Amino acid sequence: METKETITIAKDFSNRLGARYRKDGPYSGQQFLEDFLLPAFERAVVGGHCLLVDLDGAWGYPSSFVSGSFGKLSLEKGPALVEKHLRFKSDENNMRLERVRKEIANPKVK
Amino acid sequence: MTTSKKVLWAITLLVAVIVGGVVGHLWNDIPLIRWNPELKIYEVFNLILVFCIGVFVPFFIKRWIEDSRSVKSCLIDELRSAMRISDEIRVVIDRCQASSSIVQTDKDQISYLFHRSEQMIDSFDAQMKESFPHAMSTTVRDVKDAHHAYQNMLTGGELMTGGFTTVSGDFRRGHETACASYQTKLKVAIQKVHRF
Repeated sequence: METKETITIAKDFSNRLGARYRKDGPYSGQQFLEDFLLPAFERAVVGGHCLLVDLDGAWGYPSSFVSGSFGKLSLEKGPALVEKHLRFKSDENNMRLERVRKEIANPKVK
Repeated sequence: MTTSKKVLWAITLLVAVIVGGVVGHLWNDIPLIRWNPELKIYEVFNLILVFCIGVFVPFFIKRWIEDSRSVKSCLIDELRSAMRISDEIRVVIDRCQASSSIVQTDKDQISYLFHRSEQMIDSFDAQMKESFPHAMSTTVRDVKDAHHAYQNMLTGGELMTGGFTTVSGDFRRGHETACASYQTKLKVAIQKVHRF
């Protein structure tokens, strides 16, 4: 499946990521999900293409951010659909990729 | 030099010695060197074999031990570096508890320290795949799971929220327990690497 859209989190959103919910402070997982990830993901599903998410450039990925964005998306849309339309890239940290993929495969209800 | 190159060199040397002996045997006009007709060909091969065993076997065993030690040392260095980073995280938490204040910069620093330790475990993973593929799966998975649990404890809860502005004694003790558990897993992995 062709990749037609890319979100570079550090550039398009922030390189200092926050916690899970908007009420927790700026640059939360919920904010990223609602303002960036979900709209782009829905465009990818409707258009039948892939969305690439570039994880590089951020200071770090708090577990609550990962759970509040990618985990929540997986809970809402189902792991199979998310895995079908989302691709990830990280040249600087392979374990970060594994964490995000693990969260999507086994999203936790919080 | 890779193992295949070493073997190639050893074979080349052996072939050169044998070819030299055969040429010397067939070409009797080589000055100074004369084949003693009382000498049997198997005695020459026996001599070469003893020479090879005496010289090359200790040489290759020594190299093999040194290579193995050097690889293990690299692997252990990665794990020790990951352990040092958890000590740095502990220093940040302890400092914040002592000053009764934690700000966004401290939280960013903790996130960044986890990013660095992930890179070290990535490196450990890659080196294990290269050097000990038979033993890598459980050891690397244990280290990653321990790191994941530690990271979840610290960055998966209230610490990263805007309302978390002071580090309580309870939080510090909870962190201390999680950090000690993570470091224990790293030490166990170091011992496993020693035994490979």
